[in-house]
Amino acid sequence: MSDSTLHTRRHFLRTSILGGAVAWTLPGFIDRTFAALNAGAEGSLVQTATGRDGPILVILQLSGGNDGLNTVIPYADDAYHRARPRIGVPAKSVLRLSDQVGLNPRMPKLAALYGEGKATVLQGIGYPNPNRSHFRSMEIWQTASDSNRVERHGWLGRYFDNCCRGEDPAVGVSLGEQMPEAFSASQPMGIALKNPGRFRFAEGSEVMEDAAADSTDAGGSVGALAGNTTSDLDAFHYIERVALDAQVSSDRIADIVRRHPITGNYPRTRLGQDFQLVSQLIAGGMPTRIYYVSFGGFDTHANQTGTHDQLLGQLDDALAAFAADMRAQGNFDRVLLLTFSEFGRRVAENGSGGTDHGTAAPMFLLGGGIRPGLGGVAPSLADLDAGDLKYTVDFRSVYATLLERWLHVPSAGVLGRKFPVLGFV
Amino acid sequence: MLAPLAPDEWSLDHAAHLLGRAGFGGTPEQIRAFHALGLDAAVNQLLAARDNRPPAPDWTKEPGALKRQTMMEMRPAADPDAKKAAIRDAMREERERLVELRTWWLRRMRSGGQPLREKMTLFWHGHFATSVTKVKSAWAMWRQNETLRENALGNFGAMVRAMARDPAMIRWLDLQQSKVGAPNENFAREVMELFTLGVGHYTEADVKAGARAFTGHRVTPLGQEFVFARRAHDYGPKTFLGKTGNFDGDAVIDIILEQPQCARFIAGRIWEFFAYENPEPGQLDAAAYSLFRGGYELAPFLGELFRSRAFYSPRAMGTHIKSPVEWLVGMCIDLETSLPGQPLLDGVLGQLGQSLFQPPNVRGWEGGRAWISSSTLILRYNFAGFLVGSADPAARKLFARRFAAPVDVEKLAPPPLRAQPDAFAEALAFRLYGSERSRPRTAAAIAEAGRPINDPRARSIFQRLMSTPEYQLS
Repeated sequence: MSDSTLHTRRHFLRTSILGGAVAWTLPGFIDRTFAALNAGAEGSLVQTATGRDGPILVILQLSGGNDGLNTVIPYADDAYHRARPRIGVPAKSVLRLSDQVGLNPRMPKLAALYGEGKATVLQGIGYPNPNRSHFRSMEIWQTASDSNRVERHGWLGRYFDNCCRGEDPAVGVSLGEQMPEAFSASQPMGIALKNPGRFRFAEGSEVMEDAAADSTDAGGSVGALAGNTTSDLDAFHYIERVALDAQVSSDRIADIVRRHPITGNYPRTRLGQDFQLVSQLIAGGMPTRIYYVSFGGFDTHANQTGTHDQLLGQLDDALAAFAADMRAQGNFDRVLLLTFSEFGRRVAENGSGGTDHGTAAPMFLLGGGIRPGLGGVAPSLADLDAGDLKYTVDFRSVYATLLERWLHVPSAGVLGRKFPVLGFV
Repeated sequence: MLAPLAPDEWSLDHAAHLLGRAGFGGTPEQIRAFHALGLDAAVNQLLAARDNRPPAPDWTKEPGALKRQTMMEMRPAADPDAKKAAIRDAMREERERLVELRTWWLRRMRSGGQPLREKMTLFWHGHFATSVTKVKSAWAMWRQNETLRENALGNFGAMVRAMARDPAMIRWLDLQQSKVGAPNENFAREVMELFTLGVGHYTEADVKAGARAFTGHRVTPLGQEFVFARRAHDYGPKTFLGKTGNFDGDAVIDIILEQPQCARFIAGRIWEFFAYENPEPGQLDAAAYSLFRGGYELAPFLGELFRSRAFYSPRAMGTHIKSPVEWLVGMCIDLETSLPGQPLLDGVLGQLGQSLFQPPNVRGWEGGRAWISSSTLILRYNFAGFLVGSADPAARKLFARRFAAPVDVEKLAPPPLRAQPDAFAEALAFRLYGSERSRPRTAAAIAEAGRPINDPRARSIFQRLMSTPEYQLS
């Protein structure tokens, strides 16, 4: 735990709980909760420091099942064009990454970053016995479970439980109003943050005129997909703990947002705005190791092309803006961004100009510290399982690599067992 | 059959619990009257209540469905600027209608004329979760809402058949494009995974066969009416859940309903919504058996649940995290005030993660702890303070003009009552928590507020008691 984090907690202890300011707003707090937190904080002095120098992992969830084959396109394979006569991307317009695969033409900025060695693709990522339900498959990805086993907590929640006990609750920040199931932990950790200007407990009755309606993701029957929230605490103590975590973080976030002006040039999409806030928090030196961003609308069962192109275009714009901003801040080398989706889609298009639920898919990686070049192994289009791709790399190997090589913690305790570590960082 | 609560055990706490779960809560007077009926009559009253107020917005009378699509698809693009302007107008109108529709439904919940029917409609909206973001028609969403309301306490089989013909659902899960030779699997998968059986109780082959059976379920070109498109239907033989025949959509639904797993899944969903999470297997077996034996009739099933001992057990009482809609409507009932104005209502529920007619995905709202994050909890606590309001006349005026009627603390906490701390604590605990359980906290809040308890102090006590973990629970 860094000095600044400890300072925050002591500051909190002094001014809020003992001073009674919070006791008025948050009458639920009892010594026990705080004592437990404080004991955790004392015990975590041995933790490695975060704050201004630690590695940061940004997870971008693409909800709905992104069509991997129209994102990273095996343009040289005739089987691809045969399977997708209506929605296939013609080879000549593909942005080539190799003599086999290339990016969707809506992603020129990512293609350029690939050329510089600052972005790459992991191909063929999936898991054995794939499940084609959005919800079950998303749960498998978020909890890093085997497909025939239900894990109670999220993989990042287990990382928090194992490696971040007693640290600042903002060690994980989810952009949005809900926590992803990946953050579910035996002790809740992490905060959900949507509008930093309103992220504080008000004194008395402040007028809430700015409580404007929010337009959630459009497109497909899966807009947002956060999953379940689990905890070992009962409902009452869970709520009490969340309120305390919010209080611990809110002064600091208000301070950061006030003192660190917006940098970069982000698109005015919701995704762009989310990345802008991530950037602001990174610039402000939040002790956050994990940022979690979600982007929905990928369930393209019908009339896919226009929708999918638009989504990929928004993704390209937002990621490029974030990469440029991180470079300008001097933080690009300590930031690693990873995208995932609950599954890819079926190889063959359906009769509605769309694609149904499938299996393995590519993931994007972005950051100053990645190893250039394509990762993973592209699945064969000639050797399918009931019309679906066979995965070549287990997604938990990707997680294991992030834990071991990026966050520098043992992965087996988080993932339940050892998975081979890959070479992308 | 579930073990029933003995009639002489029926307490005021139980009455508050039943009104909170089967409806949206009640004032102390309503809870007392409800309790006086006795358990059996109270449950019967919930099941029988019918009230059509307030009526739906006027524009629902004429089917103006899918106006925007219609304009885009059907008008010749003679004048691109005029077309753009027309589309913009149509989109604005759709947005306004959506907000009106949300307000209308929330008012029905608030008015309390048929609390259980509205609560069940909310349950079914989360179950057959359909979002306006893809359907793009407030009219179609209204119509689905009325279908859910009409069948809310009826027969589950009839409900599923109605949903397979519902124009909003047909758009939402891509039945419109499904046809013989090229079936779209979206509806067939979700009807089993989310609406009837649960994941793991069918095979991928059943999904494919089911998709073929539902081909031909379409809406008319303007999107208002269901139509069975014969030429799009696959009349061939299909093997579905172990049976083989030339099944159509209704036949597939009948086969699904024959599976005891369907009754188990629905009984479990209803149990978790009204009583508590992860019911004991024995309780769930008994509930599922009742539902199956009763031919999926919902009213007797709900009656059995609301009369059961399990429904009033410690696992159930005070353990449910209120959804944003339950919290907001319940708060207005507790404070005996009207709902806030449209923009605020819409904004707050959106930020708390429960925009009606716009669930996040086809599984609906996750519920439980997922409602509570640092972000949503801060908003809930702050909003409680805002709604109770301050005594400052300027703030009151602004509040009244823009948002809602001010909370009448003179009525909720009459000065003579405030002068008796014990009686005041008891009254507040009952009003806000529906129970004596939280009296110590209430007493502490009153003591800390200082004396005399003038208007600002009374308001601060209310805010404090609603900015607590307890108040998020029912």
